[in-house]
Amino acid sequence: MGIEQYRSLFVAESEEHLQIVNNALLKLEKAPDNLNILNEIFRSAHTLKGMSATMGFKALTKLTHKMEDVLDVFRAQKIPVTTEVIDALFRCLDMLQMLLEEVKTEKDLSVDVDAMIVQLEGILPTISSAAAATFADKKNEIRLTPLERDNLREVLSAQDLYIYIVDIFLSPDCQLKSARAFMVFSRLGDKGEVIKSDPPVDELEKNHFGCSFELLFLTHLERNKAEELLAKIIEIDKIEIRKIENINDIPDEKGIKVKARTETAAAADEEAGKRKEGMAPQTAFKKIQSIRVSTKRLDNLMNYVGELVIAKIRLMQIARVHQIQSLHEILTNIDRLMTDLQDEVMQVRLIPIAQVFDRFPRMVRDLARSEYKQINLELSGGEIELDRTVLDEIADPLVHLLRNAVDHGIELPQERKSNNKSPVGVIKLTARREKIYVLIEVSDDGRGMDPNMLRQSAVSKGFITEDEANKLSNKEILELILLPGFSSSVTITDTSGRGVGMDVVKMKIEDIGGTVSFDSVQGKGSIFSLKLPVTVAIIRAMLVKVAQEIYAIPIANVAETVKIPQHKIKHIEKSEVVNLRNEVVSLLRMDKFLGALRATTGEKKEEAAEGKEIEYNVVIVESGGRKAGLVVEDVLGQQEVVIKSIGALLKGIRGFSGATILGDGRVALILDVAAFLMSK
Amino acid sequence: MGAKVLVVDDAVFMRKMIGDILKKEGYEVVGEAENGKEAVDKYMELCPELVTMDIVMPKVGDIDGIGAVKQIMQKDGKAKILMVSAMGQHALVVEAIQAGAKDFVTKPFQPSRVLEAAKRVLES
Repeated sequence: MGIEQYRSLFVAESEEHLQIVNNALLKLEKAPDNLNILNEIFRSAHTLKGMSATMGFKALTKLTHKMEDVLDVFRAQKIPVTTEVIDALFRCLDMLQMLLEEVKTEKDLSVDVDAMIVQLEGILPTISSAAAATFADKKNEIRLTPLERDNLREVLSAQDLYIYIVDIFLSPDCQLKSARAFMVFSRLGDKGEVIKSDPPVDELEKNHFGCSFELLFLTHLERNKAEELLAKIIEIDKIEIRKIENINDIPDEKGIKVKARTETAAAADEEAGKRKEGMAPQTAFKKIQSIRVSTKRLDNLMNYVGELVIAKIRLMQIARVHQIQSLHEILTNIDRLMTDLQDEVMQVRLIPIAQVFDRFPRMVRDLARSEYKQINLELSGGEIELDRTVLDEIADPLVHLLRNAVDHGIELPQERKSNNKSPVGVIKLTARREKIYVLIEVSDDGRGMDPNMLRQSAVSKGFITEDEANKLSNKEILELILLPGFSSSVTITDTSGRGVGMDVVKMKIEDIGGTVSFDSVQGKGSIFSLKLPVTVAIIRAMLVKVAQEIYAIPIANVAETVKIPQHKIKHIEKSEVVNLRNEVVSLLRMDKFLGALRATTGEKKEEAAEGKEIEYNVVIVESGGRKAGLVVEDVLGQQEVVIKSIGALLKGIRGFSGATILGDGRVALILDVAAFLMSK
Repeated sequence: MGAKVLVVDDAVFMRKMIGDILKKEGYEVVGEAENGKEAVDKYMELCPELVTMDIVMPKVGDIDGIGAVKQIMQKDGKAKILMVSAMGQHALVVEAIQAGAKDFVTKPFQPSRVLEAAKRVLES
């Protein structure tokens, strides 16, 4: 197999590691002396280096190698990192991202790795560059995975063996430490088995350790005999051997001693008991828990399921028309299976929101730093899942909302202090599930929006007249920021004037069937809520008939269906309205609107001539707080529809979000209610 | 009377230095060899209690330092060989120990290290 085949796997995995490093760096900034975080970054850099080297990507290898070196110094010497170090590591991360981009696109982005390496060397604390010196001693501690523990327990129950924890301290001037360590291993190996070591064997082999290491030694020898094995080796300063009476005294992976045997351990023990193999803790075989699938495949899968749903609906229609009982029976079964299949495929496509959220802490940090603001970004609900199509679409709107919050929401520290606020602003990004929706909120405790300023600005930009401005309530004034071109013209600053206004945010969210709402209190902050559907590929829709054609209205937008007699329709100025439970709802005659004035009006006139009062079928739809009644010829009922793109040619037509194929093979356009209400 | 030692090194300077260190402590340097083949022959001839063996030596008769360790260990399982290695020869040292060498010292070495190693190897 050629190395090329691994490219996509390499990219995907590297991206994950870069994300890990990114998150860890953010954490490290808050806890500069946390060794665990440093270790996490180190491990990722190490893995990246290994992968890049295997793939033959020289620049990546070189940079990650240097990163590893630098991190190792801090790690080994337990030196707290400074902001300069974090900044340098962030720059390093950016560069790695660019290098990865090069790998992805096979384009040369002329990344200057050597300059970065010089920078990295610059941040090293003043220590000799000799590799040996960089590995100062840390406290070694052997930790057992549950599997190792169980294997060990099994072996002990079968044979009469002792477990020793052996700590070896080499002389500081020992030259070939790795070979010295090997000698220890080899001596002990003659009379027993070295189960595990800290640092691990591969680190020891690479000389990546200070002057000490710890071993877990299994043998039938008494303690003093075991000690004698090692006594004859030179360059060892000190040997400490502890006998372990209880396996639970050896800490677990988190460094915690197992107090009582948990149920899972007992179960694993039982399972271990079934296996009569000898022990092989280090070669223990892990079952594959998950696999990687390209998103293209998932899209295809979804498409096929969609086609199947359509075929199923057609079959059901045939069964209904021809009254075939046996077909009905099997179809009920198929129907149920289809629903399960559909659910499952949908589940597979779901991705935790964290994948989008995770990139924000860095962004907010950089923005805040560049504007001399102090901001704490609080994330929650990252585990909530969304269809990846939805997830792809919300990233940009969220970036915009967060930028706004940093730029315009959060005040400078001194301003906050003088307003009796904590100098550190808080931006919260939360996600939560609400029925078939996912609610994402971006809130800040900043200065909020000033209605009067918006009023003035709206007038001066010519959006509304001064008279209109004075009539509008504060709430309505706030709504103005959703007007196309409004927000960008009022709120542009050097950093957020990226030409994306709130109207674009709104449009994007509504494109995927979501809604945007917000609130703002002057001096207290603002909150923006995005209400998103969990999935977009298959939706329930109400089918209506207009001028012989069938249209689908997403059920999420349908408030109710009513029959309205002619006399209830009133006219306000030139538009028709109806009073629905004390709410005035404007009516929209779909046939006229869609430009299909056919026999419909004639029929109604005939009916009217016969003295019957005409009753109109009206579907009340709503989107973004607006309501309208759509007058249709007939309401055909609900069914699930598979959304198909209308294709690039017809993309320009507003008012339809897609098309679907009905049971009888006919095509129905799906109404984009949000756009519909806007264009009205 | 100190233990009998065979000093193997391709460099005269090193042989002299190791020999001097050991002699000062009362060891008896019974012979010297400058390659692996000679080392094996001398070992059989002199039956020394300890051999110091340079790890990197030119191959003579297809025998280098490690080859010599292997042959000596084959002929005398109780042979006590102390490897002398330069820095960065981790892999070779490991190989020598697997072949049966008892310990190693690294060049440049402290006399005390050599003596300590010699003492421990003889005791083992």
